Amino acid sequence: MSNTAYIDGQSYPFVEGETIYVFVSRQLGKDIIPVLCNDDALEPFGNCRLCSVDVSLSEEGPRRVKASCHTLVETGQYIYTNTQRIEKLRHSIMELLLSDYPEQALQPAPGEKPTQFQKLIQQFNVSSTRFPENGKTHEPDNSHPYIHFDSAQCIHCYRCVRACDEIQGEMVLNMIGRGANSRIVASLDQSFKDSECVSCGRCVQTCPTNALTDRYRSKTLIADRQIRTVCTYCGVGCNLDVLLKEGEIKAIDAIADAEVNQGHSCLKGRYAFAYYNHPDRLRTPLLRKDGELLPVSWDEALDHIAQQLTEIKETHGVDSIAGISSSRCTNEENYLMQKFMRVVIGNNNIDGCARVCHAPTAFGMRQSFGTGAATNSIDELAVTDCMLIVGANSTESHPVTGAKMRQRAMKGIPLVIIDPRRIGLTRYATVHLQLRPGSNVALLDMLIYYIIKEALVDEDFVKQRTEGFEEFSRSVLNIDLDKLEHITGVSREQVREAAQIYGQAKSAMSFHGLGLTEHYQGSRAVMLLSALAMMTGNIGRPGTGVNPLRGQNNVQGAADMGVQPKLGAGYLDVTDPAVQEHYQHQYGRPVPAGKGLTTPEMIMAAADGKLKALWIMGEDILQTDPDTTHIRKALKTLDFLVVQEIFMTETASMADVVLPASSHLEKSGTFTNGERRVQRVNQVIPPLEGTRPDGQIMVDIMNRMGYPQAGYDPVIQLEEISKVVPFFAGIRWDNLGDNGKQWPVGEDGKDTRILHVGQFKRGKGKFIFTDFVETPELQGDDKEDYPFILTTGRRLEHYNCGSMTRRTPNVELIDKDELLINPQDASQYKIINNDNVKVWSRQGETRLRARLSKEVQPGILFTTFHFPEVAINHLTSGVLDLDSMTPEFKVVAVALAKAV
Amino acid sequence: MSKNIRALSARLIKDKTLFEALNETAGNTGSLSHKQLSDISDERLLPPGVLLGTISFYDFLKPDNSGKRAYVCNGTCCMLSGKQEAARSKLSKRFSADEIGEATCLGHCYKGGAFWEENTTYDEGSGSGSESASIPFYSKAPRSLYANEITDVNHFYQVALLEQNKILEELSRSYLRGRGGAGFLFADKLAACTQASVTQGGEKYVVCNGDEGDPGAFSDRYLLEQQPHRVLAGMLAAGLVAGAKTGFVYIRAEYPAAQTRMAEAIDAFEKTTVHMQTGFQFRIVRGAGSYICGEETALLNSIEGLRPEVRTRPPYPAQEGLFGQPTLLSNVETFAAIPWILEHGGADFAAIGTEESAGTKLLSLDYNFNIPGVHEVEMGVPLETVIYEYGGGFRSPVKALQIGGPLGSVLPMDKIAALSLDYESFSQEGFLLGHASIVTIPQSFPMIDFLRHLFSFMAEESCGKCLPCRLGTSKGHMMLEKASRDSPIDNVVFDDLLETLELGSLCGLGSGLPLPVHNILTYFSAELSDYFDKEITAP
Repeated sequence: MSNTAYIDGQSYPFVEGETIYVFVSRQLGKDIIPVLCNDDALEPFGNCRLCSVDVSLSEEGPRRVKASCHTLVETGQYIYTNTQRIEKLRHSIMELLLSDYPEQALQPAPGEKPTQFQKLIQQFNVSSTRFPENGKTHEPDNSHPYIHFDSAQCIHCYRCVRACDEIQGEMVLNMIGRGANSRIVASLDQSFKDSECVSCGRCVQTCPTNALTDRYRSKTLIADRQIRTVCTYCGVGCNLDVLLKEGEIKAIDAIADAEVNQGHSCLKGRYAFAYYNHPDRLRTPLLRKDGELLPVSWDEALDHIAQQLTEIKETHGVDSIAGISSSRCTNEENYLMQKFMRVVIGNNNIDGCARVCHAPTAFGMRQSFGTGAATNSIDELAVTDCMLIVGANSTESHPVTGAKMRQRAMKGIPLVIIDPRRIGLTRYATVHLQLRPGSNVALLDMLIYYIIKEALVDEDFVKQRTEGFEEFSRSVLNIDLDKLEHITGVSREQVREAAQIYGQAKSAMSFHGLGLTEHYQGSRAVMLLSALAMMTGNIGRPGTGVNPLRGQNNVQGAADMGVQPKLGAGYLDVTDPAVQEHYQHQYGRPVPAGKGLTTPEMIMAAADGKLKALWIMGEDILQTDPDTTHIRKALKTLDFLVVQEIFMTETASMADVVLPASSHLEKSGTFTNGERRVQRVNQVIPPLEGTRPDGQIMVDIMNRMGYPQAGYDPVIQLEEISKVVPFFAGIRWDNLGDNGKQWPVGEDGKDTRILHVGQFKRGKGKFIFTDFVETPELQGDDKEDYPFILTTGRRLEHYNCGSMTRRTPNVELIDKDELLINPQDASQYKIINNDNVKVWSRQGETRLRARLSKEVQPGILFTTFHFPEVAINHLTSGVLDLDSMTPEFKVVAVALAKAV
Repeated sequence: MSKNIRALSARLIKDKTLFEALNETAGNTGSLSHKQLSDISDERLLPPGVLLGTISFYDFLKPDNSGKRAYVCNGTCCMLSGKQEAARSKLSKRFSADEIGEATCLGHCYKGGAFWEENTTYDEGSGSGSESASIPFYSKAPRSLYANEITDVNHFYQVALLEQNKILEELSRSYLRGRGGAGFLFADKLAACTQASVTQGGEKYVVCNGDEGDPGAFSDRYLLEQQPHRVLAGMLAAGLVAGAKTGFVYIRAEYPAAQTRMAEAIDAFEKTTVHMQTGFQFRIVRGAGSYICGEETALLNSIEGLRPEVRTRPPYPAQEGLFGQPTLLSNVETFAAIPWILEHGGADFAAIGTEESAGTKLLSLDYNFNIPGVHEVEMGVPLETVIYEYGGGFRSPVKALQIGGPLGSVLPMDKIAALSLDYESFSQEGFLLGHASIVTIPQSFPMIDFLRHLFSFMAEESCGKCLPCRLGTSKGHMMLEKASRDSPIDNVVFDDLLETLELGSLCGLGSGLPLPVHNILTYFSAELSDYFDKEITAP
């Protein structure tokens, strides 16, 4: 009989190409064959041999011992899982292992669960060994704030080495030496702290003993409860299990079968949760009285706000109030915030932090395709033939996606990187186009030029699915290559090579981050990237598309929910009467007709005295938005500032009322990740005493100001949203399941992995050409005074303004923002590593520590904005993207000096 | 095996593989500074820790051995001959004790007392400064594969240009079996590699396993040094059939003269018309001191610059070998036989020897034979003929022979009469012919010490990947070292250890060790009974 084999005498069907271990486990359960070196997330390795079985070609035929984890099942094979000699072999292997294993670690540590190895010790009932002990002693390595290594408990299963290689792709952990003298070390036999370890913790999770543990003992913790939720540290949307004991969060584990992260996480998701009950958490509303913020009751605070807003509205008109929502909050909360502004206050002055990141993406892709969201899904990385990464350092900002990209990149998939910095992935890139910051449009024009010149255009796709190509093509062919070469600093030969790589791939996926968007011509650059995908037919198929990498956990969702001044919930145009009718019907109140203010417009209006009141939900605009001095002045001019926050921030300290909010661990709701996946965030613990979920605060104020809004409950709000937002039609709290759904979700609950299949959202894809225009930041009569370009970004260890990660042991890994400077420039300015340097722009100055690095080219400086003391946004300018008003964070003209 | 390290290593192989880069940078000093590691790391896109993992595996590259300038051979024959001290004292006149290391084995087993100095090997018969004479070679076969001298190199290589089907046919007819020890039919391997397809624009390879690590064996060394053109022509003919354009000759670091001779031969080949016609390239990869590299998958990892740990199989090298591409990998002697087969026809080759063991076989007879050296014999010849006629009997009394390397059988003298030099005869008696080196164990040498030597060698050379072998060899060694009349070994524990090695090990190193150990326990139980707490019984 074909594809049938026998397990302990019984016949079962097997799947072609599966191993004996998988076959037996699938048919009879995972406890039939013991394993130690096996981890389903890793390639079979065959080192522990505990999974050995007896195999024969006939029932009575001679039997051979085979390791089941890497031996394939064959037709008619007889597999015997527990013959006497197999049992003896396994027992002896355990005994051999125990001879080099500390006696005190035979049993679980007091109050802890057994490790996988300790369970096997119990199962095989081996407590001692008959083999000689090596008696070697090892000092445990507790240097790292999270990961601890006790090599005495290491059984050489290589799982950590393999996880570091096959999943995280860092290869920090390696076996050194040979045979009996081999051992696992970090980097060049260094302590974990000094090694290149990126602290993802995947090694700890897979280690079957307590050789690798973390400070939270997450592997062996006996939790009272464990609750699945979604990480809040970026737009990847990793699924995490939060482990609780006596009501406190004790550890976090990445969920092995989660579709988004398959058991992986970065150090922020896995370890950086200590902020949640930090003493700095705000626990009571604060009201400014006689210039001082003083604790008051919730009733007093909310009454005061209601009264103030009503008064301002009456005195200065409905447009004198504005709101800024938060991409860290849930969809439901963002929905309520925009609804509050539109229905209760009565204007469209609602914006969010997408304004400072991906608004150009939303706008640009909407112009080209009709929808401003990622066209494809991250797991298509596994099938794509080419990656184009523009202005995104996923390795540090989207670590789990970054690790997946790294896996493909190391194995040699064609990779084009467009980035002014030599980011981690450039090491493996086929071509790195290291352009001058602010010249994306020039470079993309060149790239498109060569797609046409090299005859790489997908004529059929262009003809059938797009419009405006002829005119676009004419404009492209007119570009001045000499000039653009000069501007970008990238040779045409390199660009041509990149065009060939991207254009010739059967399927190519582009990814971009804020390096593309936060520019004077940010939206235009997005349109060009969209054009590049269309002209090569890279839309609507697996492994293709234009895929923005979202910085915050719910940037996608906040925009979807209508947190923007021109588009309401579901991206419907608020100036369209039909749309107004739709909203009015759903909200039960009239809605405003005119478009509202973007965040930069709000700041300007406040500075001009036109805006009187501002409500900010969970954003520290003083630290994260450009030109701090200007913002501070604007906020000071306001009559009334309300801030919802979990910590006292620079912005909150200027507020008239500070409302203590609950963190994402303390509430339920949904986040939408960068691939349009709406996932359930489950409340892990009740709100910290004195705090309220942001959504509940909105509900409270809406009711106080006369709009009857049902209490904050994602079940209720999602039901409401499904009627308002067309692409949420089929989304209900109860049908999202563990892994969520990717919108659009039809009435029938069916979700969508790839957008624009067969047809674009807007009908035909539109080609929009843009010529390069130099940013005003790099022009002006005084430009000689600012010879450097400063660009900014993030480090793996910290999250944006750092308010959360700075309150975790992550600060033991990185405790400062540093200025990266090319050694050539450094030597000219006589700057050496760790020197204190002064950097100033037209807007302001700051001081920080220098680090010499070839990551940046001469003339370019780079830093991060995680620590308030550096306050880099004192330097950033007021230049905005021409179309979406997103600030140009990535290009600041600065001067530099060694500080004295 | 790391797919990432392999893929990154494969990016840069044209001039030098990662392993070659590491090896050559270390030069003969055997050390790599952190700066050198970091430079190679930058060039090869691999973290320095990965490179440390690789170099720390090899005797000649590991940081512990940096500063060693000379090595005394610690091979079985040198140990048994009792000539190691003499070699050491010769060296200690020029080097401090710290500068003298141990290497196993230098392939001078026909003399003993071997040592390595400044990339040259010497033995008892040669003073330092003058290289030892070449290996004595005798052909006792009715038709010798190697006796005819190659006078016209250009003409000699023409044999590789025979029609490809014809080559396959003749090799198939010859019934040539792999000479490395496993005895796999070469034509089957070639057919499998020929049919396999390359991936991602890669190319097929032919690899010659010249990592003759078995102490006691030096016949491959003979071929590499004295018959390099035969080896190359064999690789070329088979490689062209398989579809390869490049051949790697992996030669152990302990054989410096073989490297030189082979390099000269490759130079000569590159001047031939066949080279011009085929464009075929040969490259020598020098080993760096590790016995396990003789195992084919470890050898592939070694060339790629990975830690030479044994891979799980399948896939087999013919499907997925060097840099993940189909690879025809075989032993030196196998390739060296091919030109003769193609010149004279497969039928002629098959007519030599027995039905199952066709052709001739090179034997390595150690220093204790009256006529030591490499002996070419017709397969199937009685072992007694080999020993007493070809080898001329022993110089000093012998109580046992170990045939086929350290994992080969240990035969007491009364077993010899029943055996003949072929795969069938050995396997019938429960022995292993292996690579057919013959090591004599002197009457005076205690078997407990021989056992200790065996376990010491295996514990030292186990790659450490699989737990049974890493722990079994070292624990076994510890048990034997500690064993004495007052504190004998528990037989049950020792038997369990052997059974674990045999059944559990990933490759032949661990699973093969119990064979000679059982032989010794069985045939020399009287001598060993003091070291065990119960009566030794045959398994």
